[in-house]
Amino acid sequence: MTVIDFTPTVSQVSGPNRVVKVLRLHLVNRMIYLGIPWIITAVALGVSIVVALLIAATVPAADRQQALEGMSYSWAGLSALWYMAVVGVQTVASAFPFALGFSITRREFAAGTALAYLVIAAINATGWTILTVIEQAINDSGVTFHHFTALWFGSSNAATVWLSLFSLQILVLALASAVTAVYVRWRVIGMVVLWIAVALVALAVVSVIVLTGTGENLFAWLASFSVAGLFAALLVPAALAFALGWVALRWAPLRT
Amino acid sequence: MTIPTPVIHVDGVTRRYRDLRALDDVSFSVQRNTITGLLGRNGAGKSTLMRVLTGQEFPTAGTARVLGANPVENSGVLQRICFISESQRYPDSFQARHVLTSAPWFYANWDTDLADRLVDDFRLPLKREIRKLSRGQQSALGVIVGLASQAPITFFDEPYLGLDAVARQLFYDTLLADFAQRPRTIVLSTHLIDEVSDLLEHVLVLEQGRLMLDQDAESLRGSASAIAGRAAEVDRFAEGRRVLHRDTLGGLATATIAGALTAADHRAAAAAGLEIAPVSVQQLIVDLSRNAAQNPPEVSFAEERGA
Repeated sequence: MTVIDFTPTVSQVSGPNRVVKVLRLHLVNRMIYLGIPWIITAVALGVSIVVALLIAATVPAADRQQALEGMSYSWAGLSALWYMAVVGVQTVASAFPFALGFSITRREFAAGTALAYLVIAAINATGWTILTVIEQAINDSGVTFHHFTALWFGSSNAATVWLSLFSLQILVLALASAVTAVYVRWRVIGMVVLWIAVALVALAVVSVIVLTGTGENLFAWLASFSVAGLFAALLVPAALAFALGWVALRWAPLRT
Repeated sequence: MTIPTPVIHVDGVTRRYRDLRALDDVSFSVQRNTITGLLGRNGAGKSTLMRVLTGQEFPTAGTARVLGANPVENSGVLQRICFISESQRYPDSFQARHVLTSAPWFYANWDTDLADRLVDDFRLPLKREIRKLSRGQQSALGVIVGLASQAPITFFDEPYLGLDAVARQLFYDTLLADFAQRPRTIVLSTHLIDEVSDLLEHVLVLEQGRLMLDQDAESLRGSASAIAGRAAEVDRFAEGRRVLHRDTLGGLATATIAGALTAADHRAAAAAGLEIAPVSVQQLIVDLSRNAAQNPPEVSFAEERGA
C-alpha cells in the first residue's frame, strides 16, 4: 500500500526570501512609508522658510538675529517623525491582516516588518541628515536658519544626527506597533491592562528614585553618556517594544 | 494500491468565544483535487472554520491538519494555500494594482495572463483605492487573486458578495474551465447554493457550529423528494419516513421526505393522488437547517442515509 505523497506542486521559498518579500510588500505602495514622510518634510520645511522670511521682513534688525535663533526651538524638523506613529499603527492594524491573507506566517510578517522598519528609518534618517548638514553649511556661511539644525543637531556631527533620527524613528515605530498589537490581540481589556502596567512601572521607578535618593546620581550617570550613546540606548526600549508586539501578534486571531 | 489521502483533515475541532461555540466538535476530511461546498446560515461557523484551516484562528480543542500538518505558522503548508476572505482587509491607500503586483511574490504558481484577462473581464479599476471600490469590485479582486494564485488548496469565503449575475457566471465558468485544466482542491462557502450546486463534488453543511451534513453532492441530489397533495394522504405516505419539513395550506400539504423513493413508492403516491417533485440542494439544506433548529441533530442526514 502506498500513500499519496504531497510532493509540492509549488516551488517552496525559503524563510529569508519570504522575509525579504514581506519587506517588498510593505514598500509596494511607497506612499505610506516614504511618500508621506517626505511630503510632511517638504511642507514643514516650506513653513519654516516662510516664517524665517516673515521674521526677516518684519522684525527690527536689532532683534532679528535673536528671533531667527529662536526658530531652533521649533522641533519642526521632527514633524515627519510623528507620522511614523501612524505608520506603526497601520502596519499592525491593516498590513498584518492583509499579509496573513497572502498566506504569510506571523513570524515572517514580524521579521519582514522589522527589516522594513530598519530600511525605512535608515533611508529617512539619511535624507534628513543630508538636509541637516546642508543647513549647517548655510548657517556657517552666515545666514541664520534653523529647521533641521534645531535641538542638539546644530552642534552634532552628521553621524550623531543620523543615529538620533534613526533611533527615534525605530522607537516610535516599535512603540506604536506594540500598542496596536496589544489592542489587536486583547482589545480594550488589553489597553486598560497595558496602561495600568505602564503607570505602575513608572510609579515604581519614581518611588525607588525618590525613596533611595538616587536621583542626582541617576542624572549624573545619564549626563555621562554622549548624545550618540543616549540615542543608541533608545534602541533597547525599541527592541523591548517590538518583542511585546511579537508576543501579542503571535497568537492574535484575525478578527473580522 | 494507492489510497486517497485527505488534503484536509479536521478532527473534533471546537472554537469557543466565551459562551459561544463558533465550532462545536467538527470532524471531516476533504479529498485532494475536489470542489467542496461549505454551506450554512449566517453565523454557522463557515468563516471561523476557514480561518482555522488557514492558521489565522486557533481551535480551542481538536486538531486541523492541512497537507498532513498543522497549518499554524507552517510556512511550507501556507505557501500552498490561498484564502480569499469576504472580509479581507487591505492597507489604507492600497490599490488593486498593488495587490496584483505583490501576489506573485507569495504564490509561486501565479498565472499573470489569467489575472490580466480577469481584470479586463471583471472591469476592475486598478488605480483606484480599494476602499473606494464597490463591494462587487472588491469581491472581483478577491476572485482574481484566488483563481490566478493557482494554489493547490484555495479557500473562497463568500467570494462573490455584491457581484452581479454576469460576473458570478464568469467566476463559475473560469473556475470550472481552469479546474478541468489544472485540478486543485477548492473549498467554497456560499449562500447561493443552487447557483453552485452543479459545481460541487462534496458538500459540508454547518449549523450553529456543528457539522450537519458531510456528503458527496451527487448522492445529495435527488436524495429527498417533495410530496404534495391532500394533507391526510401526504401524512399517510410520510408515515414511517423521515420528514424534513411540512407545510400546509387549507387541506393541502407538502412534505419534504428524506431518502430515495422506490418505483413502488412512486406507484403508491400516484394512486393516492400525490405529486412527487425533486428537491433542489438548496431547498434540501434549508429544510435540513430548519429541521435541525427544531430538533438538535443527534443523527446527521449523511449518517442516516449510510445506515
